Amino acid sequence: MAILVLLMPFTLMAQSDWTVSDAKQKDSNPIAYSDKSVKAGKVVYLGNCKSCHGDVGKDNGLPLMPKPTDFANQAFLDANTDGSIFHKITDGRATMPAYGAILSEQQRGDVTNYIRSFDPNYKPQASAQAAATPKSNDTEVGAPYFLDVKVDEANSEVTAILMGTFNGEKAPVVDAELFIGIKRYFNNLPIMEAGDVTNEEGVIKANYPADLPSGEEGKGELLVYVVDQEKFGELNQSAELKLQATHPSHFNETRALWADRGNFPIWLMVTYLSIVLIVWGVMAKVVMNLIKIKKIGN
Amino acid sequence: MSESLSKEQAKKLVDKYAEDAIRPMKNHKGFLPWMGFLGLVMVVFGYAYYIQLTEGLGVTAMRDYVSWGLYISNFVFFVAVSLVGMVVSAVLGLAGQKWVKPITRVSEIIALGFVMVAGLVIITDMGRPDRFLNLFMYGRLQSPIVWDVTVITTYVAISTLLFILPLIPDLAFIKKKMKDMPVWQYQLYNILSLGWIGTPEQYKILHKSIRMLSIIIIPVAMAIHTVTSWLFASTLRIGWDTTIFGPYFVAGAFVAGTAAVIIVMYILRSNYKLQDYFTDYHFDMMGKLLVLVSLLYAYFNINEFLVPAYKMKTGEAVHLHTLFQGVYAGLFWVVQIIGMGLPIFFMIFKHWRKPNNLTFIAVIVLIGAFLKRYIIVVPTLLHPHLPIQNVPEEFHHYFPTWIEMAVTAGAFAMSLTIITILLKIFPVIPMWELAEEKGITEEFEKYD
Repeated sequence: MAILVLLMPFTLMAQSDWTVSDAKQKDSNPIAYSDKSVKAGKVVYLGNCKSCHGDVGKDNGLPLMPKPTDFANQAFLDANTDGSIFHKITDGRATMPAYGAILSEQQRGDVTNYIRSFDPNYKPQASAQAAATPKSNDTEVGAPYFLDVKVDEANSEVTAILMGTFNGEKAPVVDAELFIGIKRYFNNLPIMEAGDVTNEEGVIKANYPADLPSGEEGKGELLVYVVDQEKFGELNQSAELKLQATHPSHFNETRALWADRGNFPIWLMVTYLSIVLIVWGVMAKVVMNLIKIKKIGN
Repeated sequence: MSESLSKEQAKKLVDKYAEDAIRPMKNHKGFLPWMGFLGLVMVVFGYAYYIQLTEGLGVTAMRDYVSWGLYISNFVFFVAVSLVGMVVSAVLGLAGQKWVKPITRVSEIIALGFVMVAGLVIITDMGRPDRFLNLFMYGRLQSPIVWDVTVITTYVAISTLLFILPLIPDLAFIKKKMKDMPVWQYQLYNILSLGWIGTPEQYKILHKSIRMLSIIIIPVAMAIHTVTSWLFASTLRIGWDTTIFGPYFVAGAFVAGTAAVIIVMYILRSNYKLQDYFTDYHFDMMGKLLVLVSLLYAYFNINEFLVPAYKMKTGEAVHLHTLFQGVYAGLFWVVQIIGMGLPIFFMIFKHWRKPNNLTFIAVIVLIGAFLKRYIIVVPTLLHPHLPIQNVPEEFHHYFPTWIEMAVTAGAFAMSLTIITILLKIFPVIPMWELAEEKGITEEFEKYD
């Protein structure tokens, strides 16, 4: 135990000590900083990075060792050049996978730019004018927000539309993350593309598998909600989906050790009951004997 | 045989039985401080358990991997100790071993004290104990847990009967003899003695009933610990996935229970001056019994560890290395050598089966038996088939928190409270059985 406690600072240090070689630090991001790149980077981030690093600025990454960095951390942004971030994504280390083999150079560059967009001190090398807040549209379109869902059964397509209010009129909300999925027992089945955000019309489209097995009635429930509840509030919609009707298979009705409680094996019940009855029968007989003893006493 | 004892001798002997049986029930020296101590432990338990109930099992050291910790090893230990009631009063009794007579009641009391609390211990392992009833409402017959609950309930019932039945003549006797007792105590004896008047017919029925229970308790007691072992052995986990787990657990239970009986015998002997019942001879015989069951247990241990260690299948190898030379090596070898090997060696010599020495060994054996349960439960959980990765540091280890230790201490305090109270209310000497052996049943029943 004591050794572990002694070692812990080293593992923590090891994380903050993650530096790439000088040459790589001096590299620049192969993808120039731009609104478009940041937006694309966000999509890549949501699909590939968020599951561990969490929502940027909310410090809600997974509790791993070492802890995945929250990219709103200024110390991280100050300590790492664009080249350093790009190479860390590319090469990975320990629990951070090497994305060089998974994401294209364009995507890795976009993510680098997206991460950089949280750095208020950042002066992009190429186009300084693009550093202005990337979500200019969002700031203007405000509450109240409206979420609408349309289901196109013929094409198995769902259209979710997020609208806000701008100058008293409805206007699309751009770049918002929506969850689109189908209700399941425990967690819901996502059907949107990972990292998809609303387009200029406030729309995300997703296709659902119409042959999804879903009970005897063949009905499913579509769920759509806005991920960023802090900004948009609790906004959700649901709709009924027509899915593949399935009939209970006889497989489940087999009497077996692994079956549900109603389908216990007969031999097991017989064994169980006979043991219980014999043993409790003997006890019952003993209790009757006690009554006999009592009667004699009287 | 009654000819061999004159009327006067017989009366004297019954006098002695009565005095020796009633003395412990009247002598309250040290009773209150002892109960006070147990009460204090249970208050700490109450506080710790309250924290666990309100904050959840997160206050224990149990996490995703080690999800069975100290609590489950407690449970196995408590069930193990309770098995001794069956060994002493049923197996040895039916085998015609007359010397066990004075020990039968002590061992039944220990069995009751431990098996009752075993049921509670398992509930302390539940984050939502209010869902315990779901087991009865929605339990699957296919699950060993349901079998375990059934068999433990049954064992509690049989043990209670096997405790109460042999008390009947003694309680009727004490009811007459002990004058200055509270009304509730008189009422209790009155009800439990069932209007016993000691006719030959009553004796006949009583003997028959005790015999029936003694026979039926043997398979039930075997079942209680075999099913408990199946909770482990019916999984595919390394270290538990073995076919000898049933007899291995049962043999281990004999060891733990016999040691517990020796310790209680010693306490009664020295505190209540019962040397005439728990004689050096009894300790000697119990010592021999402990050697016998320890050798049986050692035999299963050799099978349990040598066979997989010879093959060293990949998964087993990781597990065995931890036990033999890894993190758990210290504990493992202490348990195997000091808790089992050395006691067997020493107890072979008569000198070490003398009361003081044997009790010392029994204490060590009992502690070893407790730690052994821990070694069976925890290391296996740290060796799942898939590697443990990408999880917080603490998930890789297990060491019980103070809450788990306090709850464990509380469980022991509960057991000891039950045992103490039973010893206080009921005569620990089975008078009528001893009288019967001397052939003075008539004098015993006519005594006034």
